[in-house]
Amino acid sequence: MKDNSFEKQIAEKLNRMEVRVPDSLLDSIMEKRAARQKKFTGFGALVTVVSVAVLGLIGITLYMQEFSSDDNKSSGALQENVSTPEGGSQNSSEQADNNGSDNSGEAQNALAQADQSENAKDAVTPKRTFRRSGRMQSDAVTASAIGESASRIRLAKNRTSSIRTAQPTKAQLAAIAGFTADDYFNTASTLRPEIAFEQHKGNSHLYVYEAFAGDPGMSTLMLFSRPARMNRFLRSYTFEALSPVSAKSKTQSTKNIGKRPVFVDVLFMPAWNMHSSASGNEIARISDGLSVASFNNQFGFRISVPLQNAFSVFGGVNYKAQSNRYKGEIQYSENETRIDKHVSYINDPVKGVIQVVRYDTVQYMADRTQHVDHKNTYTLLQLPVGVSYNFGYKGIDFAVHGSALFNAFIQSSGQALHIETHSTTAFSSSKPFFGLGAGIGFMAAARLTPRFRLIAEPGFQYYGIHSTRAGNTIGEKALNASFSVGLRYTVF
Amino acid sequence: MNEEDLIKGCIREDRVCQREFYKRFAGKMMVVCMRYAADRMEAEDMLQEGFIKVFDHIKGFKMEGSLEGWVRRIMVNNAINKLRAKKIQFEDIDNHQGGTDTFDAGVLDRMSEQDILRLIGKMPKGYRYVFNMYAIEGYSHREIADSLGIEEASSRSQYAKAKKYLQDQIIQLEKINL
Repeated sequence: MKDNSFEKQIAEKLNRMEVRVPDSLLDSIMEKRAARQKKFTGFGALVTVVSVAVLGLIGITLYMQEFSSDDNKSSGALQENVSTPEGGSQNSSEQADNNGSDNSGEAQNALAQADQSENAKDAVTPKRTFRRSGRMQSDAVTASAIGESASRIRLAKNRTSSIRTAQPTKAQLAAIAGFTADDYFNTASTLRPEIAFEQHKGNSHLYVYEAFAGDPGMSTLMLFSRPARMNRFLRSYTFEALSPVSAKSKTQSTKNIGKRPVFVDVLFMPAWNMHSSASGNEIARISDGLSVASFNNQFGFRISVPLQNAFSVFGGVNYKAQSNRYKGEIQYSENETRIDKHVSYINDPVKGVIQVVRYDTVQYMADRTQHVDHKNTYTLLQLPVGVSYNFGYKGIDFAVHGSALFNAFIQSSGQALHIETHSTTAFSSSKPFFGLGAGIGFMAAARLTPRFRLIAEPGFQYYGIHSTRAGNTIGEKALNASFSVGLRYTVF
Repeated sequence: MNEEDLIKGCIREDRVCQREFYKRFAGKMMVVCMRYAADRMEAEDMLQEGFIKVFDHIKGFKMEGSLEGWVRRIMVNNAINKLRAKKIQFEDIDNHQGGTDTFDAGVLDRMSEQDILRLIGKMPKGYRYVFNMYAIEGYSHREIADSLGIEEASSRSQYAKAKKYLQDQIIQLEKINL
């Protein structure tokens, strides 16, 4: 072979080679990039977002006040104009905060010491230790597996001074089950034997074992720490027992040792509420005809915890003011009686003109109208529990949510419609009752700072309201179309 | 996904494209870092820093030449910069006076990539860096000398000895296998 063939072959082989790299490294890369990018100052972003949220809240509240009805009057029988009593609405808000914590890794830098006891017993006990940053650190082989002579190996303090060696016996070396000297040279950390922490005591995780010439078949172990680098090794050496590393591959842990973040979201959720009756009676049918859409307010927070791949689970608490509005007219007929008076005159030849009055009693069906305009309002605590599928596109995080809703209605008030009397009666209850529902949402989150994201999330919620337990004549169902805005905080 | 779409996606900070980019090149670039690093952890650090630079400067890639080559160059430069921060001691190991150009290529054919990488990893640091830069990355001795802060003659000397050292190790390994 001619010029550069050796180099070419080496280069070709190594340029083709690939090694397995954990996906957690990519997460670390993205986090570090994000930490270096400064698009917003943290405080400025927070002020901006809070200002937008407050302005939005004020605007929607004003809009709702304009939208709400103040006239609900009760109907009366035998009247042509009927009005329903007044209704009311309630609003309140809550918010929750959260915090996060960081991980940090640490380097290990200490002198290596190995104890060697006289009786080699157990072989290497593999033990994985991990840095808190989530990356794997490799340890050296337990000294008990190496040998049992009691002599300690210390590094000379002076960098250029000699390195003392220990003298394990053949039996001690044989106790290293399954490992050869070459295994300790393996550049792939997962294939190198491990040494327990109590042996290396926080020292370099890379131990190199040398075989000295002059005593073939026996290895003399040299342990040195990182400060005594290989370039201080002044003796020539040959690798007598050099044997190829076996092709068996210990499966590298695929466990995701990198942490994926936990998110805490604080949301303000104005919703357009459409409702219907859950009962099947005549009142329900009439009520459905009177249902009109209205605005609801909702505040809440949720915590999102990652699962495998792109999925995460979340749970939270929402405080919601639900209002179901009814407005319209109910046409009905009822029996009426009227007395018609007829006056006629007779020309009597004797008495002259005589007035004759006749009264006719007439029964007929009169058309009536009952005017309805009231709201049924419910205050509820809602616990959403669901699953999200998360993905990103063009630098924005997206998620599709599906959730089950556990509702606790803690305050109810409104008007119960009575068609037999063509009237409404007020009901009010603070006795809680419960219900279930479902929700879906599509979230977009834009990064403001490394920890804060601005959320926009349209979605739908559908749930039942057992308002008969509060005194209403019908049960209700609610379908809310919401557009949530909020902040997402990243917890590490 | 072709390279052009991949690059455009990475410029847009598309997570899907960035993940695909990482999966495509991380395995090979890790080998590059392992050739320079003292251990796996240091190699991972180099890989992280290298990919950060790749993603930060991807918009500067002009679609000319190989994308892999561009990424590899960034990784190598990053590794060299990190090594430059450390003071590399160049030792002369006895009995390695210079490699031969008539090395039997069949020996290398029979060796696995892992074995070659392992043997390179065992080399003294000075030998390893010069060998990597000259034989694999294709730097000239002048460039190596400038990068590492040594004389050009030292670079030539270190390379010759590194080559001989590596060849000796390969021959020994071959003997054992036989």
